[in-house]
Amino acid sequence: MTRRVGIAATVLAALTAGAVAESGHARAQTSTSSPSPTASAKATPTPIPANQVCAKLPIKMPPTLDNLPVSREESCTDLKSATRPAAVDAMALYSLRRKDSLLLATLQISRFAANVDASSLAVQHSIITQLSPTVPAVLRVGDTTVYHTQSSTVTLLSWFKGRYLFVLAARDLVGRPRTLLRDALEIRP
Amino acid sequence: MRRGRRPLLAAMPMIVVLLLLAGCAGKLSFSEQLRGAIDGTTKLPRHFVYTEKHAGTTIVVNGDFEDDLRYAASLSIDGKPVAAEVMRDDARALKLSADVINKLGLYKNAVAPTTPQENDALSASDAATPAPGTTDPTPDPRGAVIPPVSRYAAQRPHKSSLDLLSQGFWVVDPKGAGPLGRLRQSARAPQIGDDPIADALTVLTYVRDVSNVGDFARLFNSDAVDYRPDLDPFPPPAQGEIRVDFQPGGAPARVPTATGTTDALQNAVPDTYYYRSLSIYVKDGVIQRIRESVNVKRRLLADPADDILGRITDAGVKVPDSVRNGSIDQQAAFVLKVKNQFNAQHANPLIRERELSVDFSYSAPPPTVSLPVGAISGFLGGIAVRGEIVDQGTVQ
Repeated sequence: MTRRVGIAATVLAALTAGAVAESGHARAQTSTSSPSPTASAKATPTPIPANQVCAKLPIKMPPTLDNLPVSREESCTDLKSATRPAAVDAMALYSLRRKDSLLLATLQISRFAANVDASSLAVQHSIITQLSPTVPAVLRVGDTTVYHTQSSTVTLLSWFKGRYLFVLAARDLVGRPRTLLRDALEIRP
Repeated sequence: MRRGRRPLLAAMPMIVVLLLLAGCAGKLSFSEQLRGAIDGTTKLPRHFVYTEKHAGTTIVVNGDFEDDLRYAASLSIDGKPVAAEVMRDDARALKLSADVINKLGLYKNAVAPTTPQENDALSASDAATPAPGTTDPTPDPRGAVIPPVSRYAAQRPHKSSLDLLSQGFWVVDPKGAGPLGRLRQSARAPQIGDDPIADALTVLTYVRDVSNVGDFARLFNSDAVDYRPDLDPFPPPAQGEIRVDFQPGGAPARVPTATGTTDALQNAVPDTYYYRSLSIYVKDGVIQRIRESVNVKRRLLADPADDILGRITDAGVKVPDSVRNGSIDQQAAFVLKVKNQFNAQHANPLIRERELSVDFSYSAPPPTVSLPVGAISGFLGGIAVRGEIVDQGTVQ
């Protein structure tokens, strides 16, 4: 089910979408301008126009996460206005709402373009540090490294899986944030 | 002549090992290698035993880490069980002795909700906004936002939960871990020993902090020219292990009383680093054991020329004749007392004399953490809530 993005979802998504696209872009630019055997990014193919990022992700989402229904949101609104090539070639945004439709959390899944080496710690850290003004804490949850940052009312939990970046933005109203995270970690691209 | 060559000959195998290590590790210092071992260790599920001997008391924390959201720890003091805690994602189970409940004064602020609605109002998920009947912490004078977990920690405990705990039951709260995040730092920085379970859960952070102070880590080498056997109370590494040492630092430069400020004169009386021997045993890139000894008497005996009592006099504190002419034990106790007074004045961590041993084991299959069977459901907000405190790394 796809629904129009609400204001709250836009705010949560905007926290992450711009940072991901920008940081990856910056990284790719760096690697093309100063090629080095230690550079994290691979050779840069033709950039993908930002307005083509909205391709469907080949991810099977569960119907619920910690008993909260998962809905697909329209996520391309912001990216269509971008003028620079994006570091991600596909993105999807999902919302988790309470029964009364109050938004509790969003999960944004981004797939990096082939020229971005998302397995590089340097690339990961450059992206993660742009997601929040605070220094992220690193949590090990199962086998996954989860970066945890917090603003006044939103907790951001981010992790990488292959070419994919997952960003779970949870409001303080989420009753069981760790269980929600644990469920989200089960999503396989 | 032959006698003079013996130390060098004896040192040859260690020199070869050092050269090999240097080659393997590129140009990483031992501090950097140690930080790598700490990072490697924090990623592994593990069992730990944390034993601290302090002021005639033996504190033991036994525990398992499955990951940063699932861990269990039990605390005993002089062989007597005192507290146990299990964290499994959002659920938290707790067992506290009646002595601890009294010591923490938990009943003083307890509330007794009489309706289910009141119970709901106090649930962890509503900690974002202070619930009716709960205590909101004093607003941060700097204007910073109070993290929801701090609000949760400041909630008033339920009397019914305290009653169950006092009777020796495990109490489990399905949302007892509270909101994600770290507690707002209190005005008084936590001291080692305030919460032994927290000390045990964050011991790798403690070692990391020591290694971050400077590049002082050294590979154990009893043939090194600067090795001090009188400052090394620990056994050599077992076969296949390496031992990374932080030997006690030197005394700071003495400050002339005529020109030194009060702070400078007090800082010339050395702090914990001067009395601390710390060794970390590493095997296959993973920490096996940690040994630490903070002992004032040992250092006073080893380096009388540093004249710590003289420095205390310089700082304006009279040293009684009974101490100056007394036993080394009396002098050590006096030095500890005075330096800790200085530290308390500046809100610095106090010197804590202790013998610490931490042993890690990595079993196959790795440990898993489950909630205790038979635990009774209850609300645990406001009861020794710590927030996220385990050995987390940060993005540098």
